[in-house]
Amino acid sequence: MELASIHAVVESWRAALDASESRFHAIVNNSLDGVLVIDQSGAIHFSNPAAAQILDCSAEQLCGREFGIPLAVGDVAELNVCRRGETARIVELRITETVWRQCPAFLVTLRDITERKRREEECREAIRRRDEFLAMLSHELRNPLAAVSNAAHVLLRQQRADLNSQRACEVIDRETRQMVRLLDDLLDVCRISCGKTVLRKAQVDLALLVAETAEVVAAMMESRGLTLHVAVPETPVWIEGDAVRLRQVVHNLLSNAAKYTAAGGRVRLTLDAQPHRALLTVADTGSGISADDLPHIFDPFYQGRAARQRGEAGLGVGLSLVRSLVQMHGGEVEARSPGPGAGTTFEVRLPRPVEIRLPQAPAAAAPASPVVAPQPAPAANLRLLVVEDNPHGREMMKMLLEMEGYEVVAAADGETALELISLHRPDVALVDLGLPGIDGCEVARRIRANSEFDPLFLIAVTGYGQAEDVRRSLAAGFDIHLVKPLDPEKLVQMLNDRPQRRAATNSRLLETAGGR
Amino acid sequence: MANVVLELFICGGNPKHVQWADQLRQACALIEPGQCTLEVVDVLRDPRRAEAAGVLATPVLIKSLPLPARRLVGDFSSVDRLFSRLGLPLPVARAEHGCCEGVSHGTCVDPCGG
Repeated sequence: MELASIHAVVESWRAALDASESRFHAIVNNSLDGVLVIDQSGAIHFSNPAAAQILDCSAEQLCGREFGIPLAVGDVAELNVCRRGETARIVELRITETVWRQCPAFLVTLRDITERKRREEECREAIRRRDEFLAMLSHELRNPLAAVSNAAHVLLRQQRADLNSQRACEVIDRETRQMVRLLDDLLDVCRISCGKTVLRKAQVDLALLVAETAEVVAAMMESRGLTLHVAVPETPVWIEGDAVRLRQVVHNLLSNAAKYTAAGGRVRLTLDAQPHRALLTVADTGSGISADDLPHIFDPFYQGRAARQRGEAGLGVGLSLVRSLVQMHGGEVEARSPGPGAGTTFEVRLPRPVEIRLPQAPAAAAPASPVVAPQPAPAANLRLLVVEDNPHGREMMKMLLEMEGYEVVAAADGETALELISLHRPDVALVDLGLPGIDGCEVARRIRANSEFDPLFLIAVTGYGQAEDVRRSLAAGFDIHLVKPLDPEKLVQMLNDRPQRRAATNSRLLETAGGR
Repeated sequence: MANVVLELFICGGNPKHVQWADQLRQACALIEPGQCTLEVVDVLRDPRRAEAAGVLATPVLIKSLPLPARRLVGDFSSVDRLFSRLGLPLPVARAEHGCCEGVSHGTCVDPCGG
């Protein structure tokens, strides 16, 4: 080959090489993501300008420096880059393997995600504030609700009431109970999302629990013209779980099915015991779920489009609670629907232990509270003190208890309550915990500091009903902790049973060293 | 066993880094007493140390002994992985906690599960 033609070939190769090199630089040098090539010992062999900028160096300074052998979970990790006088920046690191100058190496990309992280944190903070607000709201709404509920009971007890007023009172009573349930659900969602809910696990017979819950819901289904089919194994299906929360799961799924199924429709509830899991299915012939809504129906506060249009959406908490509670039990829940109008099937899978230790007294076997409580006889000559700062709440509670035959005095704050106790020597004091001035717990402490008042039976009445709230009020000296709104029938029963209740409380306190 | 000398550079404001430092301290405590020294350096408090060591981003773990020296960067959530990438034997919980026997990392805070 002639020299000239060799020269031409070399030139064309060089041109191709230049073109390739300039393409490489056009991409890598202008990328906003940092690119590093790191050898197996952690030393940097190549850096683009973006990587240098992210790591606060020049690209020349970086070459040859030790970055370190990159470790990641999957292929992503987060690093902090600290510059003098500035807050640390957050850098996302992605790692793949490559070959550099015939040797295996790491190809690392870097991206400054400080801003993204800040926005994510803002979102989390906003959600946390929302949940706190909702928890506070649902608590605050209990106070007026308690007054309304008691007022309805007062009216119901009046023999003079005509049929219409009686009917109206029943509606008020039923609807306030429904509102309390909604508030409870709302509070639950917020507590779960704040991570404040703890399961109280025991061996639970799921078959019995499901059958009992179905029984409770059956009447409501029937009144709506729905047919409920229940297929539950006759032998116990033991799982480890929180009976109260599992009941809530079944109840919410059935209520949801009832809500979205028109009269004449059917709801089928089945429980299958499989070797390592229990499979609970709730299938309805109702309005179904569109493919757009299906992925979101377990999100808190989510409202399906169809439900929104018909104005029947509710709070959007029932299914969200179901998912959270099932997940807390290590299970999963899934919804399927062929589409609008074609019904919906919910499937809950709960893990079952391989080896089952049967409990002495299964938690779920406790009988459900009777639907109609026996009318207790009012205790004669019992003197009560009601301490409540909400004037309507106070008035209604006083009226209600007077109608039951008790002698009642009332106080709006802690100081007055203490005076009235010295003056009237009541047998029982019902004390709201959130009082102006000295609060309910302080009132209890001052009463318990004086042995003269030992016989006084102290009941805490509050919107807060979590375990830690109960512990706090018992530690302050209360005998019993009740959550608003009070069920008047249960309250009367408790007033009559209080000697036994106190004995039980005392023995429980004696068991724990130190007592109150 | 040769002495192990480790330096961990973290960003003290990052709770994850602080947690990883604790995990690593516990793991080092499981190695024969006195055989492993771990120094944790907060680059915000001691930027000169970081500069002198050529730390570009945190967290970084530097093993200066036993040789060869090695430097790791990234996600330190698994102590086992850290030790194996450093070429060190995995720290094994001693047998005082029966239920923890054989657990091969230093993160067993409540060995008997309460």
